[in-house]
Amino acid sequence: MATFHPQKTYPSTMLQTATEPWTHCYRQLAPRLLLFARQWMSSTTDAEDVVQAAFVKFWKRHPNAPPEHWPLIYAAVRSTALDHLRSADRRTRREAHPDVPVLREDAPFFDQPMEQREDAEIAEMALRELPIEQREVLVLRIWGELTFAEIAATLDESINTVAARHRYALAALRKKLKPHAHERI
Amino acid sequence: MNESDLENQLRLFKPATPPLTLESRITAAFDALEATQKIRPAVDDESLLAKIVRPLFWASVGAAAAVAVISSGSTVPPASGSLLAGAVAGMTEIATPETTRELLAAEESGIRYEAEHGPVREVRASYLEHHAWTDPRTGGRVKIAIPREDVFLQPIAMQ
Repeated sequence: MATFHPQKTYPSTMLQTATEPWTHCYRQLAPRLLLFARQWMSSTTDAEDVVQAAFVKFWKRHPNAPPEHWPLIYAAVRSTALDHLRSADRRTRREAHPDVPVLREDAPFFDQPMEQREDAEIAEMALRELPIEQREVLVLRIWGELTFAEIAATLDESINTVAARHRYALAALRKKLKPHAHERI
Repeated sequence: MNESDLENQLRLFKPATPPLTLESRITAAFDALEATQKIRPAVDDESLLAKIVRPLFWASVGAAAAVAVISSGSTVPPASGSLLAGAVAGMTEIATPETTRELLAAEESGIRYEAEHGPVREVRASYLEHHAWTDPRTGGRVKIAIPREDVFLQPIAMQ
């Protein structure tokens, strides 16, 4: 299994001290963790629950975690999301009723100024159409800013597998975005 | 557009900011956790003290009873100070004790949450420990039985 690289340099803003050790980490990573959690959860509220549970679980186990260990929080988010899905699946099967529609909340993935909102919506739509295996790699790489080694450790896959998925994801996205390229992206 | 250009384009989109309530919820969760951890050591100290005192108490009672029973027929001198001290003082030349442990019961007493290890299963095992000393000169024999309880914590894998 690949390991994280302690020698990786992190922005100095990530090393500032905060009131609580976790606070600064949260403020740096929260939007990225939430975006990552939303790759599994259909509702933003559920994704927030997952981020909360995973974040608290991580800091409880590693109360003095240095920034080079923070990528592990993505692994915690992923495993919490998968647990949540398993229990939600059991609950749905137990409580399923044909007359009650499944609530699906689709808050946008990205915060964009008005003039770029359409581009963001197109990118989000293309992203949602990718298989989850490619999407999680892409999100960790582009918005999580993790190295391939860190992504491999997070997903418990080899670096080659992760790099290949990233390549496929970009190729698929390029294809999906091409029709819009002359307009916006 | 090559891969790198596309990556750079995608990076321009900023992930949506979570609501402020999420940070408040996490703060509350940490506060609750801290409160739990402040309570737990007190409980642990108490149980540790109980663990030490309980066998000593029963050892004293057992030794006193044993000494009382055999004192008439043995050469063990009368106890001075505490009964246990007297019994031990009189057995300086007595051979190494024979010890056996009799398992009386082992039962699961529930699942509890440890801050460090997560959920653990608590198993309580009750024993009766038998110790016997024989005086090689006289053949006098001292026997004591000590009730003992061990608590085992077995981590539970949640996945």
